[in-house]
Amino acid sequence: MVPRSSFRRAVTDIQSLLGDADPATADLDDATRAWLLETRQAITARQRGPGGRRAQALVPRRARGSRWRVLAVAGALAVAAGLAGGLLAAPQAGKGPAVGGRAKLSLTAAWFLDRAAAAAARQRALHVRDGQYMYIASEVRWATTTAAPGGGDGRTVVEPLHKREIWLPVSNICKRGLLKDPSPGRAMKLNGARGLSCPNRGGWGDPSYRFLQSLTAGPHTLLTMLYAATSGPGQGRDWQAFTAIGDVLREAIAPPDVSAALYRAAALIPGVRLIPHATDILGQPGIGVQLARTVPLSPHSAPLRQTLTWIFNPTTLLWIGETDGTVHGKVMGSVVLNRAIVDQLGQRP
Amino acid sequence: MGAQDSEDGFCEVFDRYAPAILRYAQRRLESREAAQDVVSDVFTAAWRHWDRRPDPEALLPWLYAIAGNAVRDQWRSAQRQRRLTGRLSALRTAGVSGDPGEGVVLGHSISQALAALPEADREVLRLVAWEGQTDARMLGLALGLRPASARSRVLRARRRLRALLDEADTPAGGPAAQVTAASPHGHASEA
Repeated sequence: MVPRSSFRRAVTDIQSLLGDADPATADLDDATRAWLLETRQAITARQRGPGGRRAQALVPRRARGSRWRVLAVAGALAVAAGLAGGLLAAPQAGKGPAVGGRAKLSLTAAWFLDRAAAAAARQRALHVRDGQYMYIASEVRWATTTAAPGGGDGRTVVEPLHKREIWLPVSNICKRGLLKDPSPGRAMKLNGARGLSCPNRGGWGDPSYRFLQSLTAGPHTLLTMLYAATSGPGQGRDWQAFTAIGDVLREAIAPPDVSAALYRAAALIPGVRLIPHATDILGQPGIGVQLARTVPLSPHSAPLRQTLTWIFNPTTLLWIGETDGTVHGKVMGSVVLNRAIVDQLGQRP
Repeated sequence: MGAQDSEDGFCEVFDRYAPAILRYAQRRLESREAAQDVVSDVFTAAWRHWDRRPDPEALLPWLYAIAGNAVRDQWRSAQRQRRLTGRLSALRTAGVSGDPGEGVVLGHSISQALAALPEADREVLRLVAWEGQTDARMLGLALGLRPASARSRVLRARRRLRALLDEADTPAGGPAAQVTAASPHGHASEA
């Protein structure tokens, strides 16, 4: 047991020895203050709770530039491919990877994602003109934390299931977009990029159709790119990569071959597993592809287990939505209703 | 700032502590941009888990604990990057060389003495001297240690620092200070 007096003497001694050697004593300059304000706004603009993981991609980071923009992202067009079912029986029938235990699940997910990639690759390629917008309509349910009336501790509430529509420029993220989501209570104009050179086609955290179109690499290279672009501190690179692909699938539009490559890249992520009988937030059955992780929050609280599950139509094998944990007994997540390329902000297909 | 803007006190906490977290990161990272990334990631994590935050008095140590993980990830990321580019030697000044111990006295200045210490000792010294964490309980929160262990860590780090400085003042040929190597992740467990 260390006497408190010894501890106090040691503290005083350390401060006298090192106090003058502090390398960070300068006052914050105006640019840093502005950056802090922007960062705070970017963080608080996002939802908390399980759905709040999307904030990670939005908070200003040097790789993405100092800007905030409501998340936009894409996936293959949800057009039925009419594929036959029965895919899940194949591995057990000996046509899939013959391995056991957890590895079997992982490889089975890889096998399924390869089939999903093939289905995505068969979708109709779009002719997209600069100046158009990606339109994505979805049904979503997230959790948010609100301030208690009169102050005090906040509480986490589950938003009701509601429709969300977003319009995002296809070629230049410096242009404005539009979000209609009743959860903020109003339609929002989405500010274009700030602090970036314009025009700008965006990147993983904020992709335009043109950015996604430029991804001509194979799955291994794509995953390497994702690891490099999304390697945020404390998140784990596999989780970051999986969620980055999920962001693209949820709320953007990618060319069919790029969607296919993204599925195959996801298949390379360790720990991804197949959920043969998954259900989306609307209660529709599907096939799930899931990644889970355990997050150490602080030295004094229990780790948080998170799961993110992509849901695929069991017949068409096309991505239909995701689930992102449970809050107050309700499953959080989204289901895509429609995707299209449109000419004007606010225009519906 | 309205009630809605205050976002359940998060904005006030951000405004109050973000500069401290930025300085925390700047003291440990060479790159200003990397330090800014740490701030973003720390408060993003705090925002996501705001309903699980500790009492107000423990908020800053809680944020320091999150920042510690973020900084170590930045170190690992930089290490990987430099390994790829074949410039590992540049890491030595960034405090990320894997084992700074082995009883080596690197020089006569405070900064050189610090560089010669295990990272676990450096971290507790920085927290005390530069982050002002002088309460054993709060220091323990930031380090993931019990208060008693935090006190021991402080005394040990100070003893080793003193030994290195005394050695630096000793004429050549004197006894070398004994510094026990520690893992770069040593904060997570009591040595």
